[in-house]
Amino acid sequence: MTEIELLVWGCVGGGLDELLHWAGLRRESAFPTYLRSAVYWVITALLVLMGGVVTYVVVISTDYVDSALTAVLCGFVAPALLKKLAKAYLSGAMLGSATTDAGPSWRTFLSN
Amino acid sequence: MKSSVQAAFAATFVLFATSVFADSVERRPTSIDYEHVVDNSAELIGLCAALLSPPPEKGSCDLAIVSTSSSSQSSENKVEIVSGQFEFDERSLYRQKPVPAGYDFDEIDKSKLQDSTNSETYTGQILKRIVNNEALSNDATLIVDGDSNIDTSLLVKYARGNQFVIEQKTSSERFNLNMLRLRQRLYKNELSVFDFSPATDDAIRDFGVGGTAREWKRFSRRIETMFSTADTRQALEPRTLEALRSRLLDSTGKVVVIYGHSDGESIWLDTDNGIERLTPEDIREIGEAAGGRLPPILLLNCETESVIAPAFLSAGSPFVAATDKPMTLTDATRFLSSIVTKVYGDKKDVIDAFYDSGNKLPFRLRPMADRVDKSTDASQAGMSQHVKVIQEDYRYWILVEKTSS
Repeated sequence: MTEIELLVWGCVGGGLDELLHWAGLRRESAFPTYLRSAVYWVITALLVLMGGVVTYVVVISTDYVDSALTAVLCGFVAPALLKKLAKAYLSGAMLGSATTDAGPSWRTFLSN
Repeated sequence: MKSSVQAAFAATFVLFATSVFADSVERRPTSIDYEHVVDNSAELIGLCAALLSPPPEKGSCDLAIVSTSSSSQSSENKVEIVSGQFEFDERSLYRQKPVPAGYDFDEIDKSKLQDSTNSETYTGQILKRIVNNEALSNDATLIVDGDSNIDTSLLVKYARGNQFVIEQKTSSERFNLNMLRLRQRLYKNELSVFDFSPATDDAIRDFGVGGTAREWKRFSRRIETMFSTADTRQALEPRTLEALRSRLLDSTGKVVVIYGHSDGESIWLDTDNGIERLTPEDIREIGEAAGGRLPPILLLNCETESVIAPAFLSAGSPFVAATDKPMTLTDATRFLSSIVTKVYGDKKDVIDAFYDSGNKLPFRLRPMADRVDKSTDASQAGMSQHVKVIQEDYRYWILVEKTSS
């Protein structure tokens, strides 16, 4: 399997993660805004691409990724890791109670 | 030689223009009888809707009323966002009589209008069209019906030129006086900022807010940094309720910015003396002591729109900006930073700076000039009165200015 094919499989993995991400976002009150705003689709596309790029980097620097399955898993992990980091490190402090919905923002988009 | 003379002239002109226009108020509400307009808004919009005449000329309308009405054609689930544009009777010396001139409407699902979280997604385009209507002048006043669920902050964000957007929630008498105060306000480029955000883990727990003490301290440090220059240092006030109280009693134009936490019923303040609360009752008492004239207020708390903002308006603030949603620390800091740059850097009037920072406006932070109770009896509050009679066309405005005796 060529490096480019593995990159594509990495993007597929990133895409799977994003599918699950959007499935989770459906429960958010700001979902209509996420759905209709180009900004969030661009973020989604970048996350999918990130899955492919990270897979490609792993492919060219190690021997661990050599099949479609491992490439998909690698591509899946990369954006998921980024979102976990966002959730852990982006400020959760708000001038307001945690019980009320805040507005849509890329922070809440990433950390959900 | 000739070009250098021209350049010198141009530079002098720019300097002159900067000095003349920088130190003046740019946005003022249109001179009009707002009591009449608000009391008859439905009828006036109806008259606009019934117009058969051609659309108004470009830039000829100085007033728009933005409201909602139940849709006449479709189902019960639909509602119309309507905007009536008005010109003024040129024969009237002070232009107080609005003449219906134009009408816009857009239909929307009721549930979408009521969805405050997605207001921009659902109503953004409609509100943008209202603001960008060619008939409206660049310094038009847009009054938003406060009961209409329209997100006024979006209109502020989209406003062009020196348009003055304001929300009116209940009745008209005090709104009229507040608009007069805003219209006649003197140029002021000073702020008073009170940072009552939680500084300790105990305060965070008591306030019931998220985040860590480190995050909140970082937020406070950012505010301190904003006010670290010689020009701005005096704007950051001590973290005490007493300092806030005495500042509120001085209505001389400075806008008071309060950072803190609100549970919708009161404002929680982490002061140097521990956690204290500012309730609507406290605000009412301060208003009485101030003779019903409080300064304009920016509430960078959350959920202050329901109780706290009306309390300040009732106590005598002519202008209160508040939100009904939580506000991220980043949004609050970015907005204040923009205001500070405009006020102290560009030498803008502080209320102009609020409007000019519209693109940085935190989520649903809306400017309001509302109906308040009749002002308190000055003699009881130990005040002296200066009665100022302003003649405008066929009406007389009586402004009662009260100061401590």
